[in-house]
Amino acid sequence: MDPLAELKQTFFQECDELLGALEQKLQALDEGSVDSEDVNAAFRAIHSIKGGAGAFGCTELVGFAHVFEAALDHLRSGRVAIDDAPFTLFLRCSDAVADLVAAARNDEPATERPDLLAALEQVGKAPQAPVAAPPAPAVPAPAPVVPAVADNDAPIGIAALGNLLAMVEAKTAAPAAATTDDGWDDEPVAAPEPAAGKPGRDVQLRIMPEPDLFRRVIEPRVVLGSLPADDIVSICCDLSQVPPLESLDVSDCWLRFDVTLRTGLSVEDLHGRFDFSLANEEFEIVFAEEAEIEAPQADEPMAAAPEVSSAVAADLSAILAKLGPSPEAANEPDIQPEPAPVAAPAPVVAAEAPVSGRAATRAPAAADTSARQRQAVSVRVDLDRIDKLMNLVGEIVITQSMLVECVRSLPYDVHAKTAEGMLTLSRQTRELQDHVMAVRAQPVKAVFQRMPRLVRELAQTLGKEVRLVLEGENTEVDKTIIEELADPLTHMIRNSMDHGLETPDERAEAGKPREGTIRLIAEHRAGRIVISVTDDGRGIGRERLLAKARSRGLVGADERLQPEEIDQLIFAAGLSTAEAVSDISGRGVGMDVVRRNVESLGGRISVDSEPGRGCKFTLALPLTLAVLEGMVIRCGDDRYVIPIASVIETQHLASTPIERLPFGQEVLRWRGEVTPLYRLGDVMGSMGKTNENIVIIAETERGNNVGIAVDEIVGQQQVVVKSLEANYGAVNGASAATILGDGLVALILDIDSMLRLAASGNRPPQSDLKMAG
Amino acid sequence: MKILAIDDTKTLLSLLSLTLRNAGHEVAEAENGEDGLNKFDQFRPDLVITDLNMPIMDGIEFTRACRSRPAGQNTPIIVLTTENGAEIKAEGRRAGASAWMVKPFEPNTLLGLVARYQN
Repeated sequence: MDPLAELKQTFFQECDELLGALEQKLQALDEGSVDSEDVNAAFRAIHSIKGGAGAFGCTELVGFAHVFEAALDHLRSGRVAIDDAPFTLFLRCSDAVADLVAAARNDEPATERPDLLAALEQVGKAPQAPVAAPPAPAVPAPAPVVPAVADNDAPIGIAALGNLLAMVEAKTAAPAAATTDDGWDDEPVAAPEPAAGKPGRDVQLRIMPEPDLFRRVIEPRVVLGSLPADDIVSICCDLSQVPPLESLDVSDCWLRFDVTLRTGLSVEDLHGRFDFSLANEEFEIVFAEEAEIEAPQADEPMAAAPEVSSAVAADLSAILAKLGPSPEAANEPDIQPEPAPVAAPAPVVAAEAPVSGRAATRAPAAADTSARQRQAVSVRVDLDRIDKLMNLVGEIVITQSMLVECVRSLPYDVHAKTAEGMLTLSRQTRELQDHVMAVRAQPVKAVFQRMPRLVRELAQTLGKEVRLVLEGENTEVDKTIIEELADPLTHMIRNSMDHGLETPDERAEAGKPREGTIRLIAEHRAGRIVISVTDDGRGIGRERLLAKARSRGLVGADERLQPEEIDQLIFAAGLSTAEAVSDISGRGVGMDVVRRNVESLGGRISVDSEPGRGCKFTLALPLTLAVLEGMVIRCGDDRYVIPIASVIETQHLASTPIERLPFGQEVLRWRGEVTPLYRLGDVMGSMGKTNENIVIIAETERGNNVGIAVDEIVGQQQVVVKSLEANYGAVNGASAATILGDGLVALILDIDSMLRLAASGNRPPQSDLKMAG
Repeated sequence: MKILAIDDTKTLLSLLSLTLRNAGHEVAEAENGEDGLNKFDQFRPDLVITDLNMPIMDGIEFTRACRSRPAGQNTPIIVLTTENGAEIKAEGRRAGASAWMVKPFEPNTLLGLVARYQN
């Protein structure tokens, strides 16, 4: 990829992070934070987005971000009190910026948001404030595209990248737009130079720098060098201000310069050439009586000239205001309303930071700081590379466990040193594996950050008042899992918002605060990541749910269920108890899909509900999909791995009474339940003679139990998951494969797929085998 | 010319470096004022281009700190920012900034300005 496209890509990635930060800070402020650092951080975020967007020619984004930034600046400067600020508007604007970024990223036309822009423009306009000064232009003029070089056929000739392009191509390809070589007359090609024969007007410049000019490391030659050399008629140095030698401090500048120009440059252009370095008070531009009338026709400013023939710099603002926006709008300081002084970076005062709304949030100010510092030293790496690294580590783990087995078979006294080395190697490999895993790990923040927007939008659609509390955003989990989290979480939150929470009026009637609360919490527990969504709504309507389940035949008419069992019906396919099927979550495909997805990742989902008090969904997922804790079993000559998460119990087959149903299916009685029994050797077609005497009770995705008869339990270990599809081809009954210590391949069993395989054999379909208590 | 570029937005920083490197300059990058001061001491640039709004240490503070050390008294410092108000510019001048450029920058204009400092 060429470096520009790559940079642009990086910019969009950065935008995502910045948008997250922006939203988070606005959210904190909306919830009552009065921390000025939050305001500064929000401002910086939008500021950075604007800066980057400008560089990449995303004009719509720049325009919107500019107005947004200006509004936030009112907060930063204190012109608008934090308490009075319209954070709801700001949050909607941050959503709009996200949309604009997405549009720019996909090269789609951006949706204009005049409503939001108009609202933003009102921010900080106190009723009594006279609006004399023209407001900042809503859309600052984009950097002009340089047509001479922005050729669409050029290798990187995207017009949007115009100004950047101009640069790179000018330097790498042709000197088409190149400047003269002296390094003085170096203005961009866009600058209108007078035609041959020097038409134009005489201009007197007086440059009166402050004494500190030299301390600012500005040399007069640099200042004067900004003028086109051809236009200079004369330069006089005025030494009258220089004090007597004995009182002269050589680091003070007392020089004055009088310059006579004959030029076609406009007032603003001249102004722009000095205000790089000089204050407005440090130079004066005086137009002489018009010398020649042949002003270049394209030079608009000339039209206004007669009125301002003797204008001085102080009056430029008035002239510029009349002229309207110019291509160099960015260089016109004087027509902008008085800007804010830079707010001194307020130190984060820890005592001020936590405010009631955020009290529950665990991340204290210190954590923020450390996060910022960590970010400062981070490196972006392609996920692909990490995957390769992870694969390699997997290979090493396999080799290492192979070596361990070799060494184990040797007499210890002979190879004591080797054994010791192997031990160290084991430890180091394990550490290496952990560290590589840590590289792939990412905070769940990436997903959590999308939720506030979802909640805001849903709250608006549903007419509910909702507060979303996020906890444990910094909990880390493997990148692959992160990607899979978004959908289940979205479904869970939708479900809570739509079905769980009541309307504000209903809540008030029930004696609850009008605003409902949804807590989204992530934590590590027992080697898994556990994410819960808790709402304080009405809980699951058990009677309705049960009635529906009965009417669908999912529960027998006279079957009695415990309240907890009824709650779990929410995950059954095709059940939706919402009275009105809505766009939000009433399609009845929500929670059962969530459950299927979660379980396909080796996770579990459960629900706890308390009528009238609320409902809690808990999602437990493995920390990674790359390694798996498995039970290694043997059947005949083959070994298999069963994910430990699926195993409930193991027992001797001999102690378990086995019965045979009329169509041949074996069942065993386990804890009072009739449980189907499968002999692994038969199902998977194991080689060698089998002698099943162990039964493993495993759980299927639907929560049913099955017994799997095997010969021997070899052990329990972490195995590296190798995709079968990528290396060999799909195998029914197995989700993947791994390589064991002795270098042989073992299949990782997928219980559900195995059952389907068993059912598809010459056995009758198992679906009518109901597990009745 | 040896140029130190300071900006907390990584993309802009890379873009700035790319622009300057393509023009044949040697560039060191820093992500905030504090980082900038460290790099300044190591790299001894002929010219500094700094952003204004940055965490940890902003551009004004950086300029002030830079001017207060012997090596930094003769190094031109160009402020490259979206800020464009008279007051903040005056503050920049008081701190010792040599030039002020408003983002988004036109590469040729920036290089022109840089070239003027070149001997």
